[in-house]
Amino acid sequence: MISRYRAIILLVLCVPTASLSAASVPSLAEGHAGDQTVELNQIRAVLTDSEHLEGRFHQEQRLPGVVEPLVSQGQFYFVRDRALLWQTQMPFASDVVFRSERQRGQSAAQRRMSKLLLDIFGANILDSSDFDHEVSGSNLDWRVLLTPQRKSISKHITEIELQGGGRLQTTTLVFAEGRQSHIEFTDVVAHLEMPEHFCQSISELCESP
Amino acid sequence: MKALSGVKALNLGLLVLALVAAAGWWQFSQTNVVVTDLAGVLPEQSASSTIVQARLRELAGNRVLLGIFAEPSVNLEDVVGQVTAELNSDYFARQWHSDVAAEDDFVDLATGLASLSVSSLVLAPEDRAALVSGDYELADRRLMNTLFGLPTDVRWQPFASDPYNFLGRAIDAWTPNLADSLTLSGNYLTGEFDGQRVAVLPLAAVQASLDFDEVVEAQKEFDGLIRQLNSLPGIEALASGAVFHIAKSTHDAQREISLFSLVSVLGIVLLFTLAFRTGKALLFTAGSVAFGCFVAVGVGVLWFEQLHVIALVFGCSLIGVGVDYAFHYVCMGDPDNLKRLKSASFLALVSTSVAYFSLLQSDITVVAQVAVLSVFGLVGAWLSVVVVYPQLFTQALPIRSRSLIKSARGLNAWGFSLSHANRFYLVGVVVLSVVGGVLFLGQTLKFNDSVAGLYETDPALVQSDVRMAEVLQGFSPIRYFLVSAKSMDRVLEEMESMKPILEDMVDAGGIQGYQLLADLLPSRQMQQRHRQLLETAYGLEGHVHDKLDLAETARLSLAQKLSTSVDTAATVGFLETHLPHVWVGQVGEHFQATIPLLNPKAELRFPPKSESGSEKEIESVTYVDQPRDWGRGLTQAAQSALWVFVLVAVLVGGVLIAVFRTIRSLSIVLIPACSGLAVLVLLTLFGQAISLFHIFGLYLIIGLGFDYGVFVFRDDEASERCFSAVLLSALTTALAFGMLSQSSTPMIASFGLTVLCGTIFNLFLVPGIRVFQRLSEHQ
Repeated sequence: MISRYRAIILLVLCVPTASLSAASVPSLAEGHAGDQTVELNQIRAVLTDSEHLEGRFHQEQRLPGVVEPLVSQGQFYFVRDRALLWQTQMPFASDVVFRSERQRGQSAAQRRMSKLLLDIFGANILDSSDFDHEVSGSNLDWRVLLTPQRKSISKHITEIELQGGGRLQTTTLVFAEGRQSHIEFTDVVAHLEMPEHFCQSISELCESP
Repeated sequence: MKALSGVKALNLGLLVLALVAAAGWWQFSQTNVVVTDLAGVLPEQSASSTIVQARLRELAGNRVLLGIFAEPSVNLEDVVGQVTAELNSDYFARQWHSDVAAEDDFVDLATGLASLSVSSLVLAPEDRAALVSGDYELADRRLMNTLFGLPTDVRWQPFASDPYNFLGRAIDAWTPNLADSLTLSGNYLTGEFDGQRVAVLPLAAVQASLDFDEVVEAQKEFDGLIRQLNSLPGIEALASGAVFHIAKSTHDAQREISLFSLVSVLGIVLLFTLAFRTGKALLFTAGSVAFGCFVAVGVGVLWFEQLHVIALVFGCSLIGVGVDYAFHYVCMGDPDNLKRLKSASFLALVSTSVAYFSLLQSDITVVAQVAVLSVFGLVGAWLSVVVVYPQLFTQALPIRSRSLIKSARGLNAWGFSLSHANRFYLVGVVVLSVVGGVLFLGQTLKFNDSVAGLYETDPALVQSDVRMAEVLQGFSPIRYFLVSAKSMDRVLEEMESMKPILEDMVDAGGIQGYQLLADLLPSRQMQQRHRQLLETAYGLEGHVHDKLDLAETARLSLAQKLSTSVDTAATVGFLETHLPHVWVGQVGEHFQATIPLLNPKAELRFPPKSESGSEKEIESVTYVDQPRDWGRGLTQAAQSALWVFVLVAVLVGGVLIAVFRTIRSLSIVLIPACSGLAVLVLLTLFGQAISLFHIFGLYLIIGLGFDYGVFVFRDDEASERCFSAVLLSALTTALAFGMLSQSSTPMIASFGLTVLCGTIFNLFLVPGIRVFQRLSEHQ
């Protein structure tokens, strides 16, 4: 009898959650009984669940020799394996699109950095042999520390840290020259296709196939 | 007493030659002295070109590109995983390593540049364009993105040293781009090409240079790996690299040396059996040829330290030429004739050696080597015949072959009928033929200016090279610009003035890209210009700087940078050892640097036409197009060799007149000269473009013609035995060179064909010497 009530209570509690999950990123907590040690494939499953993601970011860059952190805010739109739109709104307005396809006039280094960013957002970096992975935490609060194995990467980036729970919450990039970039993601929602207002910036993704 | 000392001198000469040759063979057995590279058969170039080529060969020489093309349904990563496992085991692990480590070299280059304080005075083309045009808004936006945007710029210096990351963007712009369709993934490049997925594994040999056996082993191992991969469904694999071409040419040359030597020796054995039916003559003749070859190779190794495999193939020709002395001794070596035979054969040796030694001046290594091998081979063969014959034979051997006797009689009769023909008609025919031939050649003779006329490249290997080049689109090792000036700063200025021309070439599709040293290391003049631009934009009173709230240290850092200049000498010293694609250095009094080009078209021409249609003069910049330059060099070498050939004929004519003290002795040189002319006419009639190796064949024709002519001229008895010796000699020569004319290597084939035709002409013209003997009798 108690277990029947428990099931009803759970069902009632789950209704709003279920209706929300159609629009928001699925959580690691779903389908898992509790606070267990997390595994890399579980994190990968969460991060690769949606093809289109929209959200807001808050970035703090700490530069050696600069006392105050350089803070920027804005929104992003990510299409898995295709592109990342980074719309800075504060302290200045700027749209930058990182594409997986090579762009005319793009240098090898720019291309490599674009690929790295897309790999971080798309979680492909978790499968890369170029990085060592160290996973810690639980399903609700996990942390992946990535250390580059190749000199060509470690000369620039010494460490990448991804943190999250039901979704990716923060990314920290530590650069060789002492620069550190900490990015927080909020209001992240999944889409099935790109909303109209982003089409201006990444027009090729809005065109019908 | 005098004769005895002469014999002693000959014996001593033979012994000394044997000892010297033995020393050469000892060296041969100790180290690898046989080389196979293409440079040996090409004209020597200027010091700078040689240095640049050596550097480029060092970069590209022992590298292999392994390409794996997969149908879309195939899991390429799995296949690459299998290949990587294979490459990490046994032979490949020992001899080859992944060449993607070159990326680390680039990291060292960029880090080194960063430490040389070049940062603030180096501007990426986009930054420079924005500042020159006064587009400070764009400069401002770029700067804001660098500071506040996603950190996508690669920084090579700490923020405080290069706050605006000018160096990072300049190096970004300078970095060679991979082909559009490729990305670096671990230790290989991957992407799409022609609807297939492709993985390219760059490999480099562990050793700096590979010897004969290692090249062959490499080809065998890679062939096995490719076969293994091609057996997988949906996979096509290929390997590309200079090592496979070397292996192919080495294999072909070895096969041909063995085959041609075997057939030549068998032919000679058969001829001897038919002619003399005794083993003694055969052993004697074979011994003289073997000793000639022993001396040739031994002295050649001591002289040059290394011998080219093509020179060794040409060395096979000694079997056909060195055998002449033995033939004449065996056919005519009666005791009362020995002295005359010795002087005639010595004269033949000297005249032939003069012809060969004239080739020693060639700036093509192989030709010079062939000259030395031939002269010392002939000297060895002659000495062994002259010293050994009297010990083995008491008189000449009778010829047993009826058909040989008949043919010799026919030649003698042909000479007799010529000597009794109407002299005016005869002279008229000869003069008309020679004048007609010269005029014909003057109008139609064409020289071969294609390097492809030297080596027959394997179509399958070329196809692999072309396909990999299409996939990778790398810098060309054979077409580039060479900038030369009296100071390094001037070199950099010239490069900067070349930039618009290079951009035009990119726009016109002549090249896909280039890498300019001056983009990383601007000239002092350009540094000054950059300083002004930066101060105007980012200085304390600048347009951009005031809008940012940067720390004081960053501002001071920039100000400090702008007050210093780049240390050009230190930077060049560093770049000399670290630039992956560019050669920079000093040759004599001049500083030089290359501008590597991405996929230059074969038809690219420099200097470009100016708007008025005339060619724009750029004295300090040379466009190096190796295939075209080699072609030109080969043509020039062939032309000069042809003139030397004419001079040799005149020189030998003079020697003959001095020795015989009669003008009729000129017939000895006239016969082979006419043969040479006839061969050139014949080859031209059949549409052959004349290469250096055809001309080299002419030298052999004149040498052989001297031999025949001297013996016939000194044979006062006009005997059939003399013509028997000439006929036997011509048959063996035709056999050896007929084999060479079938070689798969075009230069060897053209040499063989020339000597084959020339020998036939020599044989039928040499009885004409009887005409001059009769003229003498009349006089």
